[in-house]
Amino acid sequence: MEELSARHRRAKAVFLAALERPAEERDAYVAAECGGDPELIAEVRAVLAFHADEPTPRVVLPPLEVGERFANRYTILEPIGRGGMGEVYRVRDEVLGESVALKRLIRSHRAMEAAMVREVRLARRITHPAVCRVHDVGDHEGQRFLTMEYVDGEDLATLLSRVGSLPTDRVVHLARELAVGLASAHAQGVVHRDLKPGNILIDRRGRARITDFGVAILKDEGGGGVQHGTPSYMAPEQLVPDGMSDPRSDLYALGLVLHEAATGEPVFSPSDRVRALTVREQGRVPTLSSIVPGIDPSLDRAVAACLAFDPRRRPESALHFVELLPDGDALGAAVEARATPSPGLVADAGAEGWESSGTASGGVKAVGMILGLAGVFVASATAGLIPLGPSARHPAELVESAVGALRSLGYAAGSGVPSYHGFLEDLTEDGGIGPLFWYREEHAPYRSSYQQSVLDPAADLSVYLPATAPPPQVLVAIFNQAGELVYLQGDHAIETSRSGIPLDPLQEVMRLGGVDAQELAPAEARPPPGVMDDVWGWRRDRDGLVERVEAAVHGRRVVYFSRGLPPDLARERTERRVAATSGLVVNLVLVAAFAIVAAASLFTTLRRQSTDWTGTAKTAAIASGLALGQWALLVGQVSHPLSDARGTSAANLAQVPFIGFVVALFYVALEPTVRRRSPRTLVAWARVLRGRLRNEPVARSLSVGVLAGISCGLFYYIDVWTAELWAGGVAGGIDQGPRWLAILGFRPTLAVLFGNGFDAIARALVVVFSYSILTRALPVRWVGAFATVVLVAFLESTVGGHQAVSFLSFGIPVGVVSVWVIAEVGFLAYVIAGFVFYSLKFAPVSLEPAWWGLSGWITVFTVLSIGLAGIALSDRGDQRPAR
Amino acid sequence: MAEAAQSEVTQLLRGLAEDLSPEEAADRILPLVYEELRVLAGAHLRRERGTHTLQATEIVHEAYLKLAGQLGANWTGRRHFFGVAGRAMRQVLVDHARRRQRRKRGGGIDRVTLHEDACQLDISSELSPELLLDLDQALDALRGVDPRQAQVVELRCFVGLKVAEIAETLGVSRRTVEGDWTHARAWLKHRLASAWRS
Repeated sequence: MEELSARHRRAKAVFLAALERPAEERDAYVAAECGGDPELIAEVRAVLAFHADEPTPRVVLPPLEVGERFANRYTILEPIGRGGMGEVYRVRDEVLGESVALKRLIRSHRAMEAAMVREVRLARRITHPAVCRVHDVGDHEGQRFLTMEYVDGEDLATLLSRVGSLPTDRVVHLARELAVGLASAHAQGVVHRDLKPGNILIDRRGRARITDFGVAILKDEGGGGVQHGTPSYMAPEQLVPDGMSDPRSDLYALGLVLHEAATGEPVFSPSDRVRALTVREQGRVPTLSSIVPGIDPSLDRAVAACLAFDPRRRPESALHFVELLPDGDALGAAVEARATPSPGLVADAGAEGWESSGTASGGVKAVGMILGLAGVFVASATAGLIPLGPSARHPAELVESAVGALRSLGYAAGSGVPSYHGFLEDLTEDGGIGPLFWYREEHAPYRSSYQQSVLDPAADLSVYLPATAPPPQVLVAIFNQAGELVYLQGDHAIETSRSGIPLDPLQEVMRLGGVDAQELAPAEARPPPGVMDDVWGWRRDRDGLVERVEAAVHGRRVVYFSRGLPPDLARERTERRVAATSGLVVNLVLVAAFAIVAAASLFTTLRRQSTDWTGTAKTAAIASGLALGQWALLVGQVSHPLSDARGTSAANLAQVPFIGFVVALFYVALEPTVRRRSPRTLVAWARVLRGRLRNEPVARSLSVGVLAGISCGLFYYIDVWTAELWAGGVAGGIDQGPRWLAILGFRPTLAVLFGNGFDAIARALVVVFSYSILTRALPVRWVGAFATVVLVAFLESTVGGHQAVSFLSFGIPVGVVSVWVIAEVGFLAYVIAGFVFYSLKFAPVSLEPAWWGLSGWITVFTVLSIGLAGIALSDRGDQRPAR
Repeated sequence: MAEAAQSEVTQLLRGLAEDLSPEEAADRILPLVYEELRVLAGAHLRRERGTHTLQATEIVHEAYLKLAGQLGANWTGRRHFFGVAGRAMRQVLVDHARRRQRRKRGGGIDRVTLHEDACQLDISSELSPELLLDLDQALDALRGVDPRQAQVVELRCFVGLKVAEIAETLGVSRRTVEGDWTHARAWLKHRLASAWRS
């Protein structure tokens, strides 16, 4: 207090000395005299601004009469209140025919008029039932007035003087309403700064409304300078000269208001200002429980938290305050207030609804998972997605015979760097679709300048349309299921094998290809570009099946051999397969639409500064960690046997940060929108990112996610099976790459699982974001949910690669499960469900004791481990930090 | 008001000069002067039924005249009386205003008249109870940092003393009083402007 007095006397002395000087020199004088004390300068200048050498006569407007028409539009119904500068009436707006409240200034005052405009501008940003709506500001014969929502009721101050104090449950209710109202104001960047019982209106139904944004400011402005507000309801940081206000100053006032509502007595009376300051300073506001015995301890703590002297020790936001209240439900409040809860609040909150929800017990879930996986096994085996008989040879054997075949043609196979071996589904020589075994080996260092030319968009779908120039010094051999060579690509520059070049290369390659030269008739050949001495082409007609055989030699070695459908037929078949995935167009439209919405979301997010940078970094780290794992497991392999991406290890490694970047971009753009619109979906994810695993939300996300993923897997296999019955076996489509990779063994299987991991994260970001947007943007919630179902159905069924039927039979069920998982459990559960679904979809699960069975068992083991971990983590109690 | 109490005031006012510091004296007589003023205000309102207007300076001077005879126009007595009169009068008016606010309609006062010098604070000399409460709050704030300056304002607006009389009452120079008043005027206006938003 002493210090404040000294400051005041100093300010007074400077003020009086400044008055001795001509008006234009005063500003400079004050600055010089106060020597670098900005607060003092501000104070003296503010007071000087109010100094007038002559008192100006003040005209005070007489009150308006009831029944009088004001501004040619408003009929006065009754006066509500009259203060020093203005008065409020209930009026009827004759244009709109409804009652509104009209506030007008009764003395002309430029600053006040400006403040009124400002009040309307700030208050209009906020649309919330707990905030009194302000309509407009107007001028009538030089009198500034504003109109706002008329609240039929009384203010809290009057209510309290009438009834004394409020019962606890009403205080809690009031606390939540006011906090949500404040949250919605703060979300718009508006700090009220003058919350007090007189500014809280209670309507006849008992609902509270915050009113009077006359001294409100924008959060970034901070306030300072002239002191505003009502001292007995101000936070300590507002009371000191040049005090700053932020949203937590409003929380202090909220604490005082609630304290008064619960006890019936104001904490600080207007007249004992001195006591007020010292009490605030020493944090000695008595607790509610010391005045009202038996009051809810949570309410007591919540109010006490608001009344902390240091703003940093108060609840971080109005939403955090709600979380402290009995049955607070801060996330529900956030949605009501259209405020974005902080990531920390999301992790801490959301205890509501997790424990109470009557989900199945752990045992039932475990049985469900095992039964579901058994179903996947049966359906997968029935669907026959692995058309390799039990007698199919192991890839290692196939590699060996490939090397043998290449050596017999005169190539030093086995001395180069193997860069690919594995199965790919493609057109077989008899026009069907089946697995072909590929082998590729590099004999030259990678040259990045080499560019392949893509001539045909369908080229990479069929080896029978070799439209691209082959990379130099690469050996590629393809064998059908019968072990016959169907394609060969060599290079004259490759070292000769020890066994030497065969005497009759053509005869040797025909032998390897299982072709009888007697059946061939000469025909035109169209080999791929490359250096060749001689080129031959034949046709073979056998049982009405036309086959084309081509070969080329260079220096007596076969550099090209191909056997299969004639080009026109192959093209036709290929185009039919492409047509089967016509959903691609729909996909492109969806992607474009999504890109626009996502860009808008990114813009909003950055403007609101609601980005969760830590969460972004962690999520991107998880995704790129999975990508890195995948890279390490596949190091040395090219992504497609015909691609030119030799030395791809380095190129593929570059994809790791790229995937991290894309996921980060998605997270920055999409996560805050999800957090604002459906924060509950992020609770488990936020906890995982904070390393808090042993709690119900995370546990449930794991177990429910696994169950949902298994259901989707079941839908997929049943669909594939039934599609074979009515659509003639096009099921499987082009999206089988991962499956053929997975069957190759342990490392490739893990690589597929890792890939599914980051796919699931990216997919979940897109889908959960779409869900948040659609359910809030569309007028009816279930319509939005249904739109999301359709979206997911599109995404899943087009990638599945078969007909529109599967959109209904497979896409829609998967969509329904997805939306249910998002709505009921959340983002993490959807990530898990996606991971499990993709893994089961790509896992060659089979009951046959074949060599590829291992891969399916690894997948099943992984899926079950996640599910059982979820069950085990459950019922361990919430890890929410004690407060 | 009981006769006994009245004579107590007189006694106090007479005897104070010698052995009490000004603060102690103020503490002792403030409740008594307050009581005197409260009773007089009540009487005023009863007498002029229907007007519901309290005229501050009139009441203070009536109180003074009532006591003056007994004081024998003693200089110290007068100083002590006015030393607390401003604050006491303010309290009386505020009490009335509060009472009226509680009851909302009917009863109480609806106008308070201050000395016309109060106009220099950007308020009219006739003001509503709401406005008075704002002024009261602002004066409390001023008292918190500079009690003498607040007293200058009280003496000027609630008691109606002139600069010379205030200087005499407070025992400071006229120049000081003028400085206090000039600064307080702007300071209060600044403060009221932020409090008066309706």
